[in-house]
Amino acid sequence: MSSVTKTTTYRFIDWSTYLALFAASLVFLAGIIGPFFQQQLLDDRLDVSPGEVVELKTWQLKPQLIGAMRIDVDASFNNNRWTTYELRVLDEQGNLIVSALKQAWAESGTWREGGESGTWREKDVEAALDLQAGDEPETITLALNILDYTDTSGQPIEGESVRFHVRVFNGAIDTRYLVPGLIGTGGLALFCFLSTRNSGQETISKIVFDSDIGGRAIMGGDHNLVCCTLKIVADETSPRSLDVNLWLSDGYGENLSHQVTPVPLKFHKDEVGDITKTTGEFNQYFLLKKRGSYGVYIEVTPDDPVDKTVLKVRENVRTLTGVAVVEIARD
Amino acid sequence: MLTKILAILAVLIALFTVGAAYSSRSAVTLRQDEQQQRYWPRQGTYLNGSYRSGTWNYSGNRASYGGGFFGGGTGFGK
Repeated sequence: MSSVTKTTTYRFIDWSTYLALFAASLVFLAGIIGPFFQQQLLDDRLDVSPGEVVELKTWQLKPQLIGAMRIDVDASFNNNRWTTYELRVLDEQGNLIVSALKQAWAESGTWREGGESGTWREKDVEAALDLQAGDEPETITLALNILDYTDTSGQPIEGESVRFHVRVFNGAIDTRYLVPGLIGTGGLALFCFLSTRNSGQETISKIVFDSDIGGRAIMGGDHNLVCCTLKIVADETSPRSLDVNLWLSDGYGENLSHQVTPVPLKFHKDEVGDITKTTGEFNQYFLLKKRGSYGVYIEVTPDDPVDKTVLKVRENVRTLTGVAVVEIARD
Repeated sequence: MLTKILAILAVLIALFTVGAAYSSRSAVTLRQDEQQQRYWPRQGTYLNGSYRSGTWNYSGNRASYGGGFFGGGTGFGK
């Protein structure tokens, strides 16, 4: 007679899910603490007329490890105008070293559809530019310039100006990378989780429309975790829980272990509140030290309400946490 | 085995995205010819020119930014 011991094992834990979750939380945390690295350098409002170049302020831009200098510009101007404005960065001698364009517009109007009507207003007026020093510190001056200011048909408009709200930050983090990063790492963590839960190779797979089920297969061995899963479907007359009797027998048909486990049931109800069915799931892990032919036999009691049982046995299973295991030693 | 590959991939993605975000990979780096193709516009702000051996090569007057930026006419946007 082989010796049977019940223990908890942590040997078969697959740490990949935790590693992937760690990666996801790293990205998440990076997004949370990002704003703490940035300091505001300028918050200014000014009017600019088309054709004039307005210089704002001069800073020293040093090479830095974290973040960039971010220029955020919000323009406001009359409705139904289209404007192209330019952000200029000049060096100490006044030479242009960066020029960026924003084609901004703001329109509104009325709509009429099927007897209903209303007004609409849409705009795209904001611009942003991230700057980083090259190899050497540089003294830079920011300037604004309006290249184009027209009505909706492209006719230039004179005598109106654009009001800009300019904010400049240093140490700004580019959070646009973190969103796909979070989705990617989170998705991979989910894949790891699902693939660990479904790990292993199936040795027994049976469906019976009855309460007694069993099967036999060659499985086990050192460092090979066997997982036996039973799904029960019962009708509305079932009690709160059913008892699962599990027998494990060796290659000669001799009984190695027997255990009775109560399995609580989940009651499924339809819209009117009638119970349509009840379901339960039972899991048991085995460590069969000697590889060979083993039989798994299950009886669910009381058997009257049981409509269907599904037995699946998998070997070489990995787990997410420590699991209770029945260990059957060699002779 | 598969889960290990997925987990390592997740760590690589985390390192790349956090690294790219914190180093502001897609910012304009002053006077660096090589790095400007990494520029990723924010709020539709496009560069008007490019670096050629460290000096800004301005695409110039308004005709050369493509022009043709006019109003959408009636009913635009709705």
